[in-house]
Amino acid sequence: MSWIERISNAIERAFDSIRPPLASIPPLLLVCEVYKRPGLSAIALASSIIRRLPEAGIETGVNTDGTPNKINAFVRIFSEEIVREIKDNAKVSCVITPGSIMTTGTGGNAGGPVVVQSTNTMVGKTMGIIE
Amino acid sequence: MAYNPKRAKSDTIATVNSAITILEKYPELDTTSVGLSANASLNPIDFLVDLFKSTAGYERMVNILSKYIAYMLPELEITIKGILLSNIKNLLSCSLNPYITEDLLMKGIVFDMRGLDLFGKFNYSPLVSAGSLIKNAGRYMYFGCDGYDYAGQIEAESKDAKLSDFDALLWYTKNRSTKREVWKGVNNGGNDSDAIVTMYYRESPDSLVNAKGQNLNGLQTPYGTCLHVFIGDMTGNQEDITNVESAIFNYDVQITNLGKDIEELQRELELIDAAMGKNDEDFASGTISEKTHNTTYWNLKRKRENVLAGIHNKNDSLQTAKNGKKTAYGNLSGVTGNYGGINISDNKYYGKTIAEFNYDYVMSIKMFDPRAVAALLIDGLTNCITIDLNLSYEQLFVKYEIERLVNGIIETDDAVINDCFFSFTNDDYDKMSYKAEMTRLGLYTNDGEETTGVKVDASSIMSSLDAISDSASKETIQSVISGSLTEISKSISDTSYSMYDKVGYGARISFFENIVSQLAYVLTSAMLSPKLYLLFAVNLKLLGRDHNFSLKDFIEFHRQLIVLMIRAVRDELIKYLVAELMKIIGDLAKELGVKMALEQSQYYIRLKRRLVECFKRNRGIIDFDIGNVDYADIYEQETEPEEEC
Repeated sequence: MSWIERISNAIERAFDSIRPPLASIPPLLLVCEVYKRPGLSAIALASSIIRRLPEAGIETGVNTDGTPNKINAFVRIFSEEIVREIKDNAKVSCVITPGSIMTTGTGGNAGGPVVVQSTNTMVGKTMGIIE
Repeated sequence: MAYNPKRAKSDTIATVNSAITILEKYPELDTTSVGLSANASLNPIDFLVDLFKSTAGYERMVNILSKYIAYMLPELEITIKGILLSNIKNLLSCSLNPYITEDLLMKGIVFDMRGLDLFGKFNYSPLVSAGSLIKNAGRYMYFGCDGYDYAGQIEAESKDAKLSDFDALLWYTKNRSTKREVWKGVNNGGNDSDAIVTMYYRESPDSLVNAKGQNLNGLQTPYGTCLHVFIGDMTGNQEDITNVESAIFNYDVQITNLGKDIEELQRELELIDAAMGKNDEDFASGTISEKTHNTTYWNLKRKRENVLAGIHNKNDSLQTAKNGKKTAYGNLSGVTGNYGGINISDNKYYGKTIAEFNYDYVMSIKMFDPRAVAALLIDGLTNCITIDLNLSYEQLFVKYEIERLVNGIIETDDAVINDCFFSFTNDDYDKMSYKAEMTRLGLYTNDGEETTGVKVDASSIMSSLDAISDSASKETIQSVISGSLTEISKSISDTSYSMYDKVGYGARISFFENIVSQLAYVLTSAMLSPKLYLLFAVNLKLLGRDHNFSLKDFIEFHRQLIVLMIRAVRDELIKYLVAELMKIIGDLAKELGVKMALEQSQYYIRLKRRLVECFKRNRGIIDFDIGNVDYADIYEQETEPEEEC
């Protein structure tokens, strides 16, 4: 292995090692969160980015010669297109891991009341869209 | 996916830069882009320098390099010695008698002295000399003998096994010695029986003798100046000449001081003569009276006579000192040795193998010294102390070839090396001459082609290295070297272009890139010093090859070994730089990890707040009641839900 390859690998490994797998968000938190989210908005995204541009020393007002600020226009177009692409074309695939769904059912028959408890035993899949 | 160096370099630099941006940890220097090496170049040093550019500042880069010179040279030396021993061993084939023969011990080996000195090192004296930096240049090339005033000190230290630089003893043997000298290494014992080699120098091969002092018959000798080397101790009974050496030194000091005194008196005489002339003129023009003129005249005349008497006395003393020195030299040449009693079977290497001798020799020499390496590095960057005009065409040729060999190895990332050596054009020669000429005029040229108009004050920079004594701590050595390198870089960046504040940084970084390449060259040159070349020469003689081969032959014959050693230098240097870089990267990665963990925690905190708000909105209740199921189909086996679309 060449020196350049070795150095590159060592640096990549150093940065990779600091990012362990993400722990799943507890379902209860998700349930509460999901109803409150306003959804993706190109306008909100563009506004947030433009608001923070001064942090990087980028002027957000009108140019000194009076012409419109093209960076702001670029950010708006960029945000709109990204959000549009995600909203219109993105697809969410979710996996349902075995044992993650538990159900309890009650009923009865001639012998008396029946209680059924069940769980999924195979990997399941469901779909969604990003809003 | 196939390995693509351009992509690997660009990805790595981008990864580091993104971490720097997120952590807002820009190095403390102007953020001028000086052109990163994210190209298809396979030079790992350039790549490392680029990474240092992104993560550290110039000062830190210089500190890291100074630390290498101060701390890491012993480690490098062990590596190089290992390579040397294993490769020299490989040269000795099975058909060769592995034992050192009695004949070899008796006759020794005769070398052409001019051939031993690849880079003209013996043109420079290790002794302190009054005068310019160039006259004292040798002090920075040798080590372990700094501050020695007279040559006898080198001999005495060597005899007591306290001299660390074998080259200094070789210089002494060539330039001052009149008898046989022994090399024992450092702390290898104080007895003559511990000697590894014995040698003496002759202007011509006519007076060469064998170990017992008898005429040499049937030994092939060179035509010019000779260095006769014996294996082990062959000194016999020799007079101690320290006192004679010391006397010569004292006469030298006297002669120098008297010369200065006479010059001073002559200047005074000129002033008196001028004053007398003015006195006459003033009297002639009527400015002063006759009485004043006469008083002044007689005063000046008395002074003149006193000064003349002084000059006369000093001249007498000077002549006496010169005669004394001549007599002392006569005593020196009269020193003889009695070698008749030497018994070959008492020699340390009698019945020993060549490999044993090689091991002792390699382990006895010290190759690298921080002060010498720093001095040669500064010299290589500024050409401030050595001027190559003294070198012969052949020596320049070898220097150029070694330089190209080093660059060829550094600029490649693996074993692929340009095999096209020994093409030495007139343009190359002109370029080197131009560089030497510019240096002589005091103009520093960064690349040998373009004069930058930057004057480097070589004397003050080199004299700062004097703070590195033999007893200096590693911290002191590092601090002095770092200070000197920073000083040069300031001189280079402080040009008329400084009005554009970005140029200074660019010049400094380019200087740093030069330092790293130059350091590799300096370490290689240190390896190919006469002491090591002598070892090669001895082994070639043992192999039966003509020992008076040309320098070109030497490089050709030992090219593989030289390449291995240069590669070892490169690899050690890169290993060290990578280790230092990884310390910086490690800190960056840790901080980035903390920041990412914090980012995740903040996200969870936001989610929990929403949960609390959710409860508040629903008066503390969330309806998770299970609904009634009136009817359900029960399948025998659960199946995976199918895609609906």
